[in-house]
Amino acid sequence: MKGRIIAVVFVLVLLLSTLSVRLIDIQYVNARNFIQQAAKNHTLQMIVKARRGDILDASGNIMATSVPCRNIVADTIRMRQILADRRKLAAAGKKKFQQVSEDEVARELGRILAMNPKEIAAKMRESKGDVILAKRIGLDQWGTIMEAKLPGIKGEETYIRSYPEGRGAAHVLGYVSNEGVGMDGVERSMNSYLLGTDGFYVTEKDARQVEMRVYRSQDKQPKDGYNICLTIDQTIQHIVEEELDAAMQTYNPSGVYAIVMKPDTGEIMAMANRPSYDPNSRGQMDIKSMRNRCVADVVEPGSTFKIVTTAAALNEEVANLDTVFFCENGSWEYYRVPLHDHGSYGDLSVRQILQKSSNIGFAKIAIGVGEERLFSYIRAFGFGRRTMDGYLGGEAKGKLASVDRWSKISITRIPIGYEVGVTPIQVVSAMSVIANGGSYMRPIIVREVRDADGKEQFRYEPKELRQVIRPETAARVLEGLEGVVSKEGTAAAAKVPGFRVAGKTGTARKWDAEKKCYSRERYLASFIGFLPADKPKFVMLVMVDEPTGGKSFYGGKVAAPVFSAAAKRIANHLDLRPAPAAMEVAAR
Amino acid sequence: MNHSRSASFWLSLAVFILLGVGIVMLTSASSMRDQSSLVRSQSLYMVVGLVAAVVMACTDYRVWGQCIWVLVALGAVGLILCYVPGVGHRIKGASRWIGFGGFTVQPSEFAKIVILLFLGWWYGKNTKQIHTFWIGFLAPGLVVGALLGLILFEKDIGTTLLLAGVTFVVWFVAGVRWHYLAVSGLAAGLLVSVVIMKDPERMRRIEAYVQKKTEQQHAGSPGGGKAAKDKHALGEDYQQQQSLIALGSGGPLGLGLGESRQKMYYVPEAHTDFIFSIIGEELGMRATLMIVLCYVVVAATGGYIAVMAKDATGSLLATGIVTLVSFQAFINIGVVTKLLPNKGLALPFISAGGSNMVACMALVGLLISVAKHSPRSVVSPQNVPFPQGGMA
Repeated sequence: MKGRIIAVVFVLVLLLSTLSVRLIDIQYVNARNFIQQAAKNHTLQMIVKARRGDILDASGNIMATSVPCRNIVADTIRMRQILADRRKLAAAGKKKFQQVSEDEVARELGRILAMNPKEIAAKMRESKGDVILAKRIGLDQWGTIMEAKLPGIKGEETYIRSYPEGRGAAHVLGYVSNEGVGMDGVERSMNSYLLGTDGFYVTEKDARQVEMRVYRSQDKQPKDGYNICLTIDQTIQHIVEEELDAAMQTYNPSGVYAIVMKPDTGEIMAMANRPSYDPNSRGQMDIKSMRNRCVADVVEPGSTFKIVTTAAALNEEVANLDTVFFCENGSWEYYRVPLHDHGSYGDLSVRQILQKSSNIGFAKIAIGVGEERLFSYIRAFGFGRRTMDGYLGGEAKGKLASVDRWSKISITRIPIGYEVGVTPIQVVSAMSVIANGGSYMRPIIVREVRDADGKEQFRYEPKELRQVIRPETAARVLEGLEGVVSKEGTAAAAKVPGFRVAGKTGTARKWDAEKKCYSRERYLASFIGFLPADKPKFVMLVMVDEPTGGKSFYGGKVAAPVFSAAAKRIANHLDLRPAPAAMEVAAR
Repeated sequence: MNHSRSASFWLSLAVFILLGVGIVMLTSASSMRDQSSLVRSQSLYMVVGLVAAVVMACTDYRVWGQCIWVLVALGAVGLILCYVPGVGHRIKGASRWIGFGGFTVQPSEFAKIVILLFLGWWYGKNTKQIHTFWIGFLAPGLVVGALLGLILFEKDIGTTLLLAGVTFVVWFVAGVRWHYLAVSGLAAGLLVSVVIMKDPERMRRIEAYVQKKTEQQHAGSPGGGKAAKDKHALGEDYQQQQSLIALGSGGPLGLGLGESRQKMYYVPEAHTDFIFSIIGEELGMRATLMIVLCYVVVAATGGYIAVMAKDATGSLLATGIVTLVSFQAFINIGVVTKLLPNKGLALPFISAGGSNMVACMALVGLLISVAKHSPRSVVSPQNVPFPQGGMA
């Protein structure tokens, strides 16, 4: 028996010893392989989204912001595990569950999210792992989902871009793609500042996919995007938007747009377009309404351009406000091409030429200035080049031919705002020169870049680019323009009770590309106004494209009233004091 | 210098090391579960086990022979009670437990001791008739077979196979005729050989076959068989793979106590059947090899005690105990290291679980009792079984 016992024990010891061989194999020889598998098991890399910065108006009101929300994700592997366990327990009659199948989970989710449960179920069925069921779900709904305690459903933290003003300043702000890239306006031009840097962390997870925080390594916090502070004044923006809406109602134009600029700094206080769109619901956006006409449209400005001619003539002392030109009684042939006024005028002073907006008068003034000098003034006023340094997307350069490419009659057409293509922002910037003592301020729309804590990172100071005309000349031009907004002038409708207003109307026939001539039906009615006239606090351009209200198409009749209505409210908002002289007039 | 005393010392030392590692690692491996209550109850089981060991050690192992039939009957009743509603407890679809006063006990663990005592007593009493068919083979075979049948009936295939294997070894040592062993053990012997052939795929098929059989027997009880089948469907392969990852990623030195990642729900049963893999992950190869060495020491000292025993009863009892503990350790570690197909057996002295702990400790006590009463032993019955100092 002893022999057999020894044999048995020997075998037992042998058996146990084979285990040590196996253990050495696993834990020493092949350990590396298993260490890798373990890392695959446990390692979890997570990206933490940075918050895209806000866009604020001049006084810090939020114009675009990022609201935290959740992408609803189904971890189908985990879900199936839990559901299988639940079914077992339910079958044993130990517990009751609301959901024991994927379809039931889908039904409950569908109910909360108002989505089709069948689609949700299909998405889950096809997936082996994480699948996104719904994107950018608000925290309210997410709360409901959490309360429902649906198995395997988790929320991925992300942000939704929100524009509290809806259509307000939509073209200035632009919008953001699904991938979080700014696609237009400031969202696009300042995208790199707004973005921020996503953070990430490397950590380990348990088998339930829950993070084990103690093992977190490489924890890099996200760096939230910078906030962009605009020069836009939300109140003025709002006023302008409302008045544009009213103008759309009254004149039924194809479009209407306006820019308000602070002349001494070049800051754009408001910029609005109709038609517009709501960047919050991009599903309904149509491409036509997305164009920021204020910077992208190149138009022949018509009579508002005459301000440039006047300024050039006065600055070069070719004429003064009282110099008289003969206006040919309404029709003048220059190089055998007729030029018409819409009234029949005889001798008019420059002041009156401005008031009546006589084409013939301005043609003659321009001939006095000469082609070269007129061209250099037009350039100095900022036409034929981009003004915004790309801060608003899609800005056009405009069209301005050099003098050697001018025709014989160009010197009679360009000074009255034809044969040149300008953008509305160029017009406003140029006219601000008149309001700002002759110096050209770089137009700015971004005032400041701040980090997420509100600390200033960059500041865009107002910048004088050049002195275009002498301050005295600017004052004279303003004086002349004040006459336009009078009973005798073309823009009586631009009056603002209690204030002295200067301005200039424009009524440009639009080029008909089919008939190759200027249209007699389609006009661009515009008005550029300064308030108050002696020391303008703001310059505002209103352009009404193809008004079809039937009543009128003149800038003085269509655009000037819009200016008046908006300017009154803006003056009120800016707390401007009515001028004493104007008060008297108003009292009378 | 007394050899049996020395054997008892080394045996006790190995067991204490295993117990120590066990309680520390149970604390670590259950850190994400109901840790404090698990550790508390396991400590209690250890104390109960130690008391049982001391009692067994201090009692002459031959005493049990006088009441062997009572013990056999108790074992059978315990196993049958598992099916009595109100007493029997069903956990995870298996009826392996009986409960009283908030405690649950696994009667099959008690049956282990009974079977070993019975075989030792039977062959010690019938030394002359070992070669006969009736006395030497069939009668004890029927008694053991009845108990094993009850255990198999509980769908506790692991324990059944384990005890069948141990019985064969005891038969072999006792000197039961070869051809009886060969004939009777053909089917079961095949199973065991397959286990040793480490062919998980075939083993699984056989296992599934047996399970199917037992399921058919229990067609009336829907929960049980299905759960066992589901466990198969979910893949014991996954469990074992995770266990290997735990062992392997521990490397030679381990990740450090409490640093196991795999215990975080990757390795199922991390505090019971698969605790060895967590030990490997946290303490490394040095600890796993040391544990294996401890079991080798248990086997060797036990074997020594068996050889030195006063009578056949003592020898066979000691051999049976050593074989049982070694088999159980081998199968458990074999499963954890994926040498063997997945089979739920506790790791002696280490895995959480009260009945197994107490049973194993009682068996150690029996071994020491055999050692104490061996002819060359001069240890007086008053002496404690564990030597103090002066061993060297």
